[in-house]
Amino acid sequence: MKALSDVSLNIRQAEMFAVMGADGSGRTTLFRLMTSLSVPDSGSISICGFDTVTEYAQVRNCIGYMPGRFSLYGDLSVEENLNFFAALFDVDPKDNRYLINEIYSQIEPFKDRKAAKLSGGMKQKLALCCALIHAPKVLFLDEPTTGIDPVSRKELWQMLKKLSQRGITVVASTPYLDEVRMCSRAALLEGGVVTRVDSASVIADMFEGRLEHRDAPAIMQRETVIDVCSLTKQFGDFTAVDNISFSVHRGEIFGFLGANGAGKTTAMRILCGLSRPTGGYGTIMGYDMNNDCELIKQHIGYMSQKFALYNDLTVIENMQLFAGIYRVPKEEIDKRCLSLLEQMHFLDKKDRMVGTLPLGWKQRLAFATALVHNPQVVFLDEPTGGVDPIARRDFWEIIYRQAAEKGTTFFVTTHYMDEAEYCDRISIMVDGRIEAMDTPSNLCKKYSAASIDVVFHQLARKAQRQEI
Amino acid sequence: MKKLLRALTYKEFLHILRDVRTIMLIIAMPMVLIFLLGFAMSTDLRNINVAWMSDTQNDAVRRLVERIDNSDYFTVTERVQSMDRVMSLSQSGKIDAAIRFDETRGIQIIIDATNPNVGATAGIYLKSIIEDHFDSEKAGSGSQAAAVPVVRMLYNPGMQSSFNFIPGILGLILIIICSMMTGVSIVREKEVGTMEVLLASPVKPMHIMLAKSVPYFCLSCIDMALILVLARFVMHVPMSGNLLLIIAVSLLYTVLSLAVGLFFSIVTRNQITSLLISVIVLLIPTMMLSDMMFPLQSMAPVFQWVSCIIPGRWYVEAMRKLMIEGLSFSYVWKDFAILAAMTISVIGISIRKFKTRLQ
Repeated sequence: MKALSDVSLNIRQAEMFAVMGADGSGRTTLFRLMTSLSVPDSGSISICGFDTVTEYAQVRNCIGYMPGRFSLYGDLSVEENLNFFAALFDVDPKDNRYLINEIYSQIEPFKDRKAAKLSGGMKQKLALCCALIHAPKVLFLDEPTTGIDPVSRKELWQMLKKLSQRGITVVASTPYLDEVRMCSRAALLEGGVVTRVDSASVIADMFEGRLEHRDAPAIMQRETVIDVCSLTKQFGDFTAVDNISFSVHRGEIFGFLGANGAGKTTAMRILCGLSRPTGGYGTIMGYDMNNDCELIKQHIGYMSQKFALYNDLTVIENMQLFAGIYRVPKEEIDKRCLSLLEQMHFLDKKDRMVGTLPLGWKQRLAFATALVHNPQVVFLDEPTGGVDPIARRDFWEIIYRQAAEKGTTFFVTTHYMDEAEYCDRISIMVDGRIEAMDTPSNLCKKYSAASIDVVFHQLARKAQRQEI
Repeated sequence: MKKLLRALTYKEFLHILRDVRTIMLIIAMPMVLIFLLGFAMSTDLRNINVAWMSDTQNDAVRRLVERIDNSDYFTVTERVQSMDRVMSLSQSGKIDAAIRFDETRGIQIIIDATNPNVGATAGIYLKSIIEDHFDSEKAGSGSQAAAVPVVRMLYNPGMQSSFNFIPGILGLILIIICSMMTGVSIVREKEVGTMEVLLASPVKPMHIMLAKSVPYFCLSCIDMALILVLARFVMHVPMSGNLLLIIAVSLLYTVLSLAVGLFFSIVTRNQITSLLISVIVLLIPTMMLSDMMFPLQSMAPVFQWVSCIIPGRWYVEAMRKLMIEGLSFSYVWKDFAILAAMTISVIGISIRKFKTRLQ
């Protein structure tokens, strides 16, 4: 297999350079080649004048690298992680403190906390500090903000901007268009080939084409499928979900937003019957959240943030398995699986091993699997995390179609604010409470903001709760 | 350089110290194993039930029966009247052996040889008690001495199998624990993803391996001391040889075991594979081919050849010579040299196999 072919790039010092590529486009391979972790079959890469094959020791001295997945020691504290990475490069953490001061001061109050216990945003901030502590000349970041809430994302990128002003070259991959726009140039990677290198805004514009926002269904006349009244969940002294009430109607696409640690996931778990509330009540399709957990689970579709299919089964086998688990009548299983796969343009891949699919396709399959028992309500927990903009748009087209044709209700959490605008209604959670809830356009009007992104930042900034 | 090593090692210590369950396991496992293997696996004779049958009332016979009853190995259960009774007691498992005193035919020993090892040993013991008995009786009366061969058990006069087992158990426990500890250490970083960052830094494979070994070496030393103390004071294995020599050979063996674990950790992709390899490649061959349970001399030549690459074989051999026979270094230098050569080659191969790049 050829992961990358004939790639030529020229990145200047102190430049901020974005790499845009879907999963499976060769993006991670490109990063590993540039960081001297892999050796190219042909061609060469020179970083700060050093060849990555023959002079890899020198290359490794002048680069900082943040891989796509969390790569700190979870059982070491924040401070121990930082000191360790400083020692790896034989530097004193105090010497380069000026570089990371701005961002480290935010996590310093938690310096004795184990890295594994930090929230997603904090982890990435710490990882950035660790990658910077030896004052590298070039910083490589492979999707540093995937799964991170918009506030932390913005802070991280502002930090990167400052680093480039200090003369550090930043090479980052990201699926977020607003982040691409913060760079000076960007490269588009498709199927292992760099199809375009241009100014970042030109590249971002190529993707900017949005879905036509659908007309919100006239929700007032429709029946209520999710009804929640003063729902509360406490863990000891800590109130994760604080007295929230809302209702969602049949066929609606409801966006459930909030920063990391705002209580979204906890609330979602209660709604799906995976966790019991400590106060309040609610019904899903008439089933009581306190008592009918099992019935709720049978009647809803759930797509978790983590990829939860079997990598060593084929696409169709995975679907058949879940159809069986949800007690789809035997004679209908094949028919239903095939028709869903056809809708998702998956039919040609039905015998592929799931492990070999790119992430975007896996998520599409997870979505199809969540629909296999024809649920009336489907919960999607950050369904598009880490997926490139085009795959995300396709994904939302499928959601729209499903909602329009079958009247399925969708309850979606997301960190992408453009996706939030695709929803019929959204709620924004801050510190366990719902601070705002309305249609996206009404919210923008109310907060006199240009986009939901701005509204979200206005509200999330009020958060008092320390991230956990 | 020094600072780097110190930081790496310190980090490893922290990983270990924060993982209380693993520490407990590492300390408790050898204790459990040594008790289990040392006591339960003994092939010593204990509680062999014996019935006896005699058609005469003879003082000499009664004294002999008493003597058998008083021995550590046998319990005389009853006097029977017929051979049929002996058969039925034996079939119902109430007795394991019987002695028949017959005026004309002399003394006959009947043994349940369902388990041939136990049967044979019981026979030998009984015979020696009987011969011993008549020897002393006859010595007293001055009549002709029976021409019975006298067998003296060297080094292990009690013929206690635990003496023989303990070196084997030492060899087994050390290699399993040590290789499992280091076996997961490097591969864990691959699994978690921290290896990617480590590799992208200027740190060298040697440093990573060294830093990984130091804390585990310390733990292994604790384990080794624990096992030796248990062997000496709980299992009462004599440490007749030079204690320093015993420790030196054990340390070498520990280093070898740690190196083997590191090697597995380097060539595998996840912790489970590494652990499985430890079990398959180390546990089973060490048990079978280290001369610990099954005597190598009686194995087919192929197995004897294969056993040469099992580190445990050489360690067990050396430990038996040192602990039980109390021999000096000149008798174990060959084992020592083989273990040292193995250690150096495993470390060498590991360093070469350690990839400074991914994939």
